[in-house]
Amino acid sequence: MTIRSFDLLQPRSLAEAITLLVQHGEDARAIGGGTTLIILMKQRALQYRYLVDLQSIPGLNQISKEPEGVRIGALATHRSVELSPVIREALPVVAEAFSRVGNVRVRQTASVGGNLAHADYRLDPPPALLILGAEISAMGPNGARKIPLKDFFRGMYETALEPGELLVDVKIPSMPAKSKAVYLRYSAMSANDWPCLGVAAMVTRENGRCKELRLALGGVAATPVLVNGLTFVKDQLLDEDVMQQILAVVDEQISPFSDLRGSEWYKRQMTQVFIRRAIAQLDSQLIEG
Amino acid sequence: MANLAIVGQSVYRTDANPKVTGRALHVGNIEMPGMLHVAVLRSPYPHARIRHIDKSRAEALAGVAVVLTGAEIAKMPAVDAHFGPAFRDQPILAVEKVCYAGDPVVAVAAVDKRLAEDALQLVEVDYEPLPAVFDVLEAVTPESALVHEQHRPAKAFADLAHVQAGRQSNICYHFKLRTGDVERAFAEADRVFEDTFSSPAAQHVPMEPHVTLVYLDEHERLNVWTASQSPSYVRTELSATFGIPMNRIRVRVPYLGGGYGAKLYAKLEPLVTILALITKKPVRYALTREEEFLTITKHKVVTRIQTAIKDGTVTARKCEVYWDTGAYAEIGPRIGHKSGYTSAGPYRIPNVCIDSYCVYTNRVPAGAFRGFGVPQVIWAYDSQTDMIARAIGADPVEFRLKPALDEGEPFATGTIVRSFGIKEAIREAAQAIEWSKPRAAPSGTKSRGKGIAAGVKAVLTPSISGAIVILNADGTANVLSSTVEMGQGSETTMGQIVAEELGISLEQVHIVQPDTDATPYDTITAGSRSTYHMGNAARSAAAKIKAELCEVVAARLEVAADDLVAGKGRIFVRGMEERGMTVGEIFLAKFGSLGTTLAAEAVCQPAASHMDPETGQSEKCTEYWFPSATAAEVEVDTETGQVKVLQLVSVGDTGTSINPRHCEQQLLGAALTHLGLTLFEEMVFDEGQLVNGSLLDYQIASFKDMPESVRPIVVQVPHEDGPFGAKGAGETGALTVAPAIANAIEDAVGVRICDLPITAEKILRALTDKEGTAVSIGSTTS
Amino acid sequence: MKREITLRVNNKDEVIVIDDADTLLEVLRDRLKLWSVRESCGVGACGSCTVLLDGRPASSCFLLAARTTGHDIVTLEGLGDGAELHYIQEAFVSQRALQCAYCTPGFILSVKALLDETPEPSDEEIREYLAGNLCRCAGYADILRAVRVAQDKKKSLAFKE
Ligand SMILES: Cc1cc2nc3c(=O)[nH]c(=O)nc-3n(C[C@H](O)[C@H](O)[C@H](O)COP(=O)(O)OP(=O)(O)OC[C@H]3O[C@@H](n4cnc5c(N)ncnc54)[C@H](O)[C@@H]3O)c2cc1C
Ligand code: FES
Ligand code: FES
Repeated sequence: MTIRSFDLLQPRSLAEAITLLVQHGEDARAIGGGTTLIILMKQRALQYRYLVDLQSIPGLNQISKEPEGVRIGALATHRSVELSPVIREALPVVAEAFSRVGNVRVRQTASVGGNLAHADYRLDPPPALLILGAEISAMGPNGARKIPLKDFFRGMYETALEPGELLVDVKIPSMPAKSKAVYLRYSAMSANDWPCLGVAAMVTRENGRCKELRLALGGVAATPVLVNGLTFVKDQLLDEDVMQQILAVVDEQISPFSDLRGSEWYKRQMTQVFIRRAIAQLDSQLIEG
Repeated sequence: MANLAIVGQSVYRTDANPKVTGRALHVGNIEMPGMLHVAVLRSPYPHARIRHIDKSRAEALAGVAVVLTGAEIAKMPAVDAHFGPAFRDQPILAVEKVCYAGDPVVAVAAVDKRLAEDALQLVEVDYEPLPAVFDVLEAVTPESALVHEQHRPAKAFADLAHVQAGRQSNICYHFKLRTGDVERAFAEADRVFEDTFSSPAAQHVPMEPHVTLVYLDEHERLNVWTASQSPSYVRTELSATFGIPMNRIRVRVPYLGGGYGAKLYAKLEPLVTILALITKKPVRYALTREEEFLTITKHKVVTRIQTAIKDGTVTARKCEVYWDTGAYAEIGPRIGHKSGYTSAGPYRIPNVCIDSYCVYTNRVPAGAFRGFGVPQVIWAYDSQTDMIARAIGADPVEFRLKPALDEGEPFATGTIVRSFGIKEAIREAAQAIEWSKPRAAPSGTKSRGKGIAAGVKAVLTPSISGAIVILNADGTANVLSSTVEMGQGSETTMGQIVAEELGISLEQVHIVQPDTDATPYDTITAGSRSTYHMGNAARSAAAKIKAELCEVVAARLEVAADDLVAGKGRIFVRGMEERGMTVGEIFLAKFGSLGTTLAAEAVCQPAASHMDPETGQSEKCTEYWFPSATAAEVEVDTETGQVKVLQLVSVGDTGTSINPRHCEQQLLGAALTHLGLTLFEEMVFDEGQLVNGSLLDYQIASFKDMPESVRPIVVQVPHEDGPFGAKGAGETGALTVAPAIANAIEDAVGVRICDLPITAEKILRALTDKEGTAVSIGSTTS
Repeated sequence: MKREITLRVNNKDEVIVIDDADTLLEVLRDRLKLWSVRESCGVGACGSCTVLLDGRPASSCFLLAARTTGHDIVTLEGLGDGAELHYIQEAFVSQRALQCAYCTPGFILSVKALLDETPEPSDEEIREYLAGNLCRCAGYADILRAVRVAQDKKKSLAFKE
């Protein structure tokens, strides 16, 4: 497997990268870590005359703590997120989700921006970022804009990014007080495999009851799913009755299809099992303090 | 055996240093000036007629040396456009039609890989799709599409001399075994069990994909460097295909990055040879991983098995085994035969009827895979044995032990078994897993269970291994053998055997790697046959040299040759080490000079006796047997169906171990590999198209899948004709893993999975069906 | 596009002309003849092509050579002093953690990175870190022991210093 010859363009600024992408249109593609892109180009499933190297732009791989959250540059590697003391401290669920991607070599190379822009339906990180209300900063020929992550995934391998537009960073708000979050990923085959599905959950408690529940899932629809309509859990105990309602709501919003890692039937079953497990885990953590 | 110096010692591998430094020679590291690289266009259709190929644009590309099609090969005088070990049914490049999605259609040789692949994109092929057949049971029906209109036997191997030119059918080989009165036993049975088991197509995934380099030397002789487990066969095949005399073909094989059966017989060699002949340039073709998946597979097998029980014992068994050999027979007929005749198990069953069919379909060709088809038949008979034991309330271990064959009893073929440690293996496995202890109570959603499985494989017989041992005047020796070192440690084993026989140290023995210019014929490096066959050949050759040495010493020292022994680089009088001579002294005495060598050749060629084509009865169907047992403890999550293997014990009767640690390593390695094959490995096809043909999707057992506790146990029942009593060990650990795990799962949660792989989803489905409801996960399930 | 680059490989600067489309694997093997780096899966899943990039394991099969300038690249050929076996290699030999050994160079470099990052890993951490290195001869149990032996050796060496 070889890659068809192309020119690697190495801009020194975002503006220059965007100009190059606009100038070459369909003939060009941005490359982050390249873990997905290079493989597809080796298989000759994709061919470009130009690759625009985002690694050559300084400053895009920063991970920084901000007053109300954390900002992760698009070129930060999965591994740097996984190991970042800032993220481990403030947003352990994000470190956990990135730590589950592929293997250590993939994580060492793959970028946060590339992961999100790739928009595969099974990726590990999106559910965790969705429950935290992450927001993307994008920059394109028409300037900069913010895109809430929940509006970012448009379809299988499709995002809200316009031609020539680049993902610049992801802003993740801090966790609300008295809340805990967890990401459970389930590999149905080899323990080393891509996930069959992933469930991210966040529970906020107040006065011994649930204040808020957020759920997001990967692998059970053409895009990652942030579950809507969970406000009824406010002030409830997460008992069996409420659990049944939660599961009913989720079941309505997912649209799994059979793939190598499980049939539609199995994915629906596992969604329920892992939502229960995620919530049970959080609830007991919160009760314990 | 107490007085052996090095046989039986777990010495370190002699190839460890080059391997641990990455310096070991592999075909992929060999380059020749002006070497061309190959890329191959493969069929997108599972079955189609080739209407037209337009390759002009590819040919016009600068740097492209040749763009070749099957139609062109078919027109070449003196070239057979087809090859294959059992039938000559596989085209070098598709001629007229393609028979599976992935069939090579057009080959390009160019100055670099990128260019070759660029050129392929310029080739246009016009296909006319034909009706295709993907299911092995459908392929045997008269209505099925035909994969091949005719079958042409190859006559390359003695054990396949009986394959016949076929009729209008997809069945290319049918093996029959009949003994006793099966119908009557079924009529008189208390209970009859009838089950169907299946095992899917899988891939060997050697970490080194196939790679072959061919060039013509200064004498225009064909030189082939190839990652092959069968150098001798490759030479025979190339000679037959291209009409080149054997002594004008030189096949060499350096270290292999794994084989497991994938690299047997001819694979890339005919194509690379023809490209080299046309271009007169060195040509190398290295498969990509994706192409590897489209080259050779493990047979998908469906087995129907019926068993009659009377008074708590098995009185009769009927097996129908269907081997999906894919588009080309490859070695399928050998597997259908050799594995077919073992498909009733290592048990005393008076009435047996076996029909084993090797069947063409429009899928990727299937061949040998660590165990040569035996894991697939054991999957069926041992799973069923366990089911029967549970159904009639017998202890599964006792139920196997009671009818297990003893030394001296006849196998279903009528052959008397020797060196047959099946009972020992079962007992060791049961003990290692504390079979008789009560099971742990379920905790939460987790239930535990234990399982035992047993089975046996017979070694390929007849087969041939020749070895030449050359003793140098300084007491060192070179061993010429065509056994391929592919990880199994054969260089070390052969070194130990020859060192022992000649009384020299392991460091004094050098194993010459396969080179058909120098190393004698060997059938294959596979089937756990090398230690016995090549080991015997090498030992006998060394013994001949020792005898010559002894003769000289006996004359010099005026002692009886029988009283002489070899040791520490000398030949001396037994019990009197000081009374003897060094090799150098002997050479001086014999030749008057040190400038010479002593060489001897020996061949090990165990024969089989005629097997009746109607009844499969044979006085001797095999030279020796590999009894195997596996014990497993599993934990099943009843909410997800996920299985965690907690303990895996692999037991094998390897005969006397030449190197015990290496035997253990073989057992465990095969077992861990088969863990993946049991739980998740499967080549998934959709209408003949492989959908998971890359390591992104096809998963093999990784570090994370290894159970907490793994243990190999070597049972050593010496074989009277084996070198120092040895048999072999390469496949034994693979044989019984799948049923052991399935049996443990039933023990844990009471469901039985009959179709491999045993995925979490299959278990959950079975649990759900058993409960009649969705498993405790709420009412919202649709 | 062709370009001249300088690659820092095994402590040596290599100035070579490459194609932008060349992977690091292709350059290390085809140009620099570093045969310990091996292609197997071509998709980052098996670890046969592992090199250390600034001390961290990377799959050379999905890296563009042109983007690896300015980094320190180490292949198995660059491990240790070249005269004697490195203690991780010794551990692989003594624990028999190699059979066909096609996977071995990748494993050894990964173990090096693992122990540099986590000098005293748990079994769980070892399995996790090495899960992306596949061994079809399935010598995982032997490799696990080799890691432990190498770990002890590393500790005793550090202690001596
Ligand atoms: C062996 C292997 C195993 C894997 N296993 C898992 C797994 O278990 N779980 C999981 O979640 N993922 C897994 N992955 C996928 C992995 O997460 C992605 O390959 C990776 O996240 C992509 O990041 P990258 O930076 O390499 O992207 P690239 O390959 O560089 O780019 C991917 C896409 O995004 C675009 N792009 C990149 N950066 C930007 C940007 N800043 N702005 C706009 N567009 C951009 C590119 O043009 C391209 O279309 C696996 C991958 C491999 C190779
Ligand atoms: S070849 Fe690069 S990881 Fe497998
Ligand atoms: S030793 Fe053969 S693949 Fe690991």
